[in-house]
Amino acid sequence: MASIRLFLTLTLISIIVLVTFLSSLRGYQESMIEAERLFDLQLLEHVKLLSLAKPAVTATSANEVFEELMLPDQGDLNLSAEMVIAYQIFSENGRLLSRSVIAPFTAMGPFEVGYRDVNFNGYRWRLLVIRDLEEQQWLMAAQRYDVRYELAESVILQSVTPTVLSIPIAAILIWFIVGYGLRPISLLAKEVRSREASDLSRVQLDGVPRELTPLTQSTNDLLRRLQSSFSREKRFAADAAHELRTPISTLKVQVHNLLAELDRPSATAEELRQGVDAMGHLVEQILVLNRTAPDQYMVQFLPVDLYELVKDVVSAEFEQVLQREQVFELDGSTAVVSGDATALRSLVQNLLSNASKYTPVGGAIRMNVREVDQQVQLVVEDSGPGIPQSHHERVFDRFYRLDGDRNASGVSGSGLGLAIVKHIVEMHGGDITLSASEALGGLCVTIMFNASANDSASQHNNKVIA
Amino acid sequence: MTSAVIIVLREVLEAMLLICMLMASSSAMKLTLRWLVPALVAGLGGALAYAVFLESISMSFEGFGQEIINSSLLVATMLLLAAHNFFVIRYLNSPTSIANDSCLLVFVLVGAAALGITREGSEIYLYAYSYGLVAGDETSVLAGGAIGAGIGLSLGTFIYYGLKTLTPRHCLVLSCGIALIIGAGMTSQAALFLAQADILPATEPLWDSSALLRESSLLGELLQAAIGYEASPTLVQISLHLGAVLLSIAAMVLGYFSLAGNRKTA
Repeated sequence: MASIRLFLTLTLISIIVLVTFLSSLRGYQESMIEAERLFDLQLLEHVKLLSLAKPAVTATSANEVFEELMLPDQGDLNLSAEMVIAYQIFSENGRLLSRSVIAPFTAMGPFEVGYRDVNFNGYRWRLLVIRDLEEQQWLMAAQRYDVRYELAESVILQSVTPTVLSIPIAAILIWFIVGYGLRPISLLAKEVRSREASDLSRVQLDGVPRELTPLTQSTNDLLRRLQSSFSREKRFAADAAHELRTPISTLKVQVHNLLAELDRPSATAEELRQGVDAMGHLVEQILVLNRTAPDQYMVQFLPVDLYELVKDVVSAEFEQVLQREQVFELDGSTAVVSGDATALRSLVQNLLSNASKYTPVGGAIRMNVREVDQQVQLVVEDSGPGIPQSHHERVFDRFYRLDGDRNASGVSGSGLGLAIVKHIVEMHGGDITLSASEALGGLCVTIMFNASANDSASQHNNKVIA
Repeated sequence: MTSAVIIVLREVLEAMLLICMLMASSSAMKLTLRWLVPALVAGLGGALAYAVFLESISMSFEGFGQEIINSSLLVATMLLLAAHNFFVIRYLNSPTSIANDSCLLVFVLVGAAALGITREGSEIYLYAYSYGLVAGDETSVLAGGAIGAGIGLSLGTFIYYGLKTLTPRHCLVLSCGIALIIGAGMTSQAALFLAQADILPATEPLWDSSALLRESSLLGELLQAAIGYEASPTLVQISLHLGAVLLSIAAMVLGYFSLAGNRKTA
């Protein structure tokens, strides 16, 4: 059953068709029998009238044709000439006394009282024979069967045809009514579909029909359980990271002291220091990731000059770039976005750190901040190995690292950098795309933010001041 | 009007039983119903072509063209139904076989449905044309035809949804049974046509069950449409009927064992 609407429409219309058509058929058959009886009665009435027309009969000679005196005007009844009743009057000894135009000279049927079917003039006729004892004569009246049938059918079809014609109208009405009846389901689906991924609040619809209440309740129940398990997971990660901060700081001091106490440099101790630093970095990243999760972040956005912010971050993090002897280039101009400065700083830090980390020693990094069509574009390009197209979607997953743990650059990372970047972009209603850098050959990260509403005004002011 | 109802109902019901059974079995095998479109187009086109060229068809084969073409259509449909049963049993035996069979199966479905529509559609067209236009009885033929078609289509809807309420396995087993009965009925009808064309010997009927159920009664007409009921069948008809049943069973047995070799090697 692919579609409830189609199923209901088809089955309902089928039931209506079966019930109405079968009853119409039954009604047609019964009506035809009744019509037959009616026509037989009509024949009888004609014969009775014929018997009353004694003066006319006696006045005519044996072979004289007796015109249709007893019939009303044919035109008034709107009947065809074929509807005319043929009749004959015979004497007791079988001599034809009189007949109608269409009646033959010989008797239309046997001289036996009653109704019977006979053939003459190339048609089948319904014949009524009556013996008039008083006048000592036989009266015969006949009517064509096909004409009787046609007339009866045309009358009965007048009631059958509208039934047949009404079915398509009923089908269209049922289609729309069923669609209307099923609307709460599509409304519920729309309500669930239109939600943000992080929105796990209760589904609330006005006037939910009784049949849908269990579905709404179970959906809400599922959402509640999801919400609690999500928040439990988040709390655990954040709490664990927070709790780890102090022992890691202590560990760092201890390692520093250990290195100072050693008489000669030790490779093992140096590796230990690097390991502790990496662990500290990871814990900090987990905390940032949780702080910047769109559903966790509750700050008021303020206008931030992204170009200035990038410059600040670069000057703070430049040491890493210098150490790796990389060429760094920053282009752009004032571009104001509405956002959270701390989160945006974290975003730029992560992008720059990633670019520097995965670009080989002596490579190049280029950052660009500019306004494009009422939007602020931040582009970070590098000459590193890049990320294959097939991994573009997945690199934003938490703890996802290209080729398992290390890529060609041989650098290990926490696997959280791009997840944090994505969080912050989503939090600001922006858009992030990854591509291959045409200029440098490595990865090109393009982020589009909506420009702040008072951006143009501030830019104008800057120019005025300058 | 009653004759129009009975004739159109018989033809529509015959086509609907075939098509709805094929629709239900293809859904049970998780195929889409898109094959219906080419089947309808080919079937209606075929019916129109058959009706338009009826005169030259009747004149061919020494005046027995219509009988020969009709019996060929019936036998071809029966063979396609046997092929349908082969694929259904193969699917029931190993559902993954559908991946390889789907092209051929769709061809079988389109072919069987199109042939069914061609035959029944041309008969309805001929009846409507000869009674409606020649006899000048349009209203009663149209009303009767609409009632017959309406009842036939409604019954078809119930057959389809009725089969769909079953589990896929039961639906497919029942579809095989229906295909077997329809195919056998078609073969005995084809035998009747071939006897009329003097290709098969016209022997004496083996029995006459007219007293129990006349072919011309409404139930007789419906049973003839559904299972090929014949009140006074000849030995040839019975033999061919049984032959079609055996052929269908053989196709199913073949379908059952066709994958056994693959499984052993796998």
